[in-house]
Amino acid sequence: MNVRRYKCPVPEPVAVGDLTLELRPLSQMQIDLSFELARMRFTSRGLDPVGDTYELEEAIQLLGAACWCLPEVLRRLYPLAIWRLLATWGKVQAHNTPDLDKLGKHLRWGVVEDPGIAMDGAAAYQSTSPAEFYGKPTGTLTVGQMAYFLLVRQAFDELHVNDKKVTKAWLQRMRQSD
Amino acid sequence: MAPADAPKRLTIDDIKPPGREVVVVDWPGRDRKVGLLHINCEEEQDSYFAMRSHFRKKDQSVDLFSQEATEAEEMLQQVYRMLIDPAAKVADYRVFSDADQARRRLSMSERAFFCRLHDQLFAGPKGEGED
Repeated sequence: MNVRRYKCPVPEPVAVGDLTLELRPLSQMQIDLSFELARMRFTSRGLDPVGDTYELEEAIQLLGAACWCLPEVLRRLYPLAIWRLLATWGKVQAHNTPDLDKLGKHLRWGVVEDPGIAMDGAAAYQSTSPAEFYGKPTGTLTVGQMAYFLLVRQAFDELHVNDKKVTKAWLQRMRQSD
Repeated sequence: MAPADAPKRLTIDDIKPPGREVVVVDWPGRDRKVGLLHINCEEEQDSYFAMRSHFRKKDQSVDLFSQEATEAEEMLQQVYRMLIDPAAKVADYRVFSDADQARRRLSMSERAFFCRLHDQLFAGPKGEGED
């Protein structure tokens, strides 16, 4: 199981004519913000945010966030291209959404057997929040990143804290050996 | 605010002007040809906004009871945007100067014909782009 894809989501390149876009998974806050921007485009014109044209705008805003591209650029594409891009983004997003049971089991194994995961567990244990662990605002973290943080921390916690094996000196040694 | 390691946002200047798909077709009932432009998202949305604006100007509500009229107006707005000079093949060279002119000069059957032809010519392979 490649858990790195949850910790460090990799954008997927997609060619659209002359343009290559990189589609990346989004956090729930980024998704909500995209929908809000789409809604504002309609309500600012005094229109109800409903219907096919509104759904197209939602897709454009969502893809704008996913490929870090201005909506004005995406609006130059044909609607079919937008729906194809959205379908591809759906796969990227699903790829970053882990099966929590499987990931949890793997990380419980990893904190014992895999030094990289063990280090992540120690770092997560020391972090006060996922934002501190990743060094990014919480709102920008994907579902996979949040799950990875919580589960690796839990796995580390179960292994060490319950057995009272964690000491400041141990954590210090772990940091130095990184 | 964008994260520090985020890539630069793409802007319109970053891409070449997209080549637009245009098919020259016969204008039924008239001895002339016309360019049929594949309308993009922007033009599709503009058609919808223009339709809503048209009804607002006339102080007419848009609801289930006016569905037929709104669909007809949106179709007209789309046809106005898709019919272009066959020689120019550029989106700016529209056949009609504005939607009102298109409304006066295009019959209902002509509007429906061009709309249907547009969908037939530019629709992707069956099943693509859905769901």
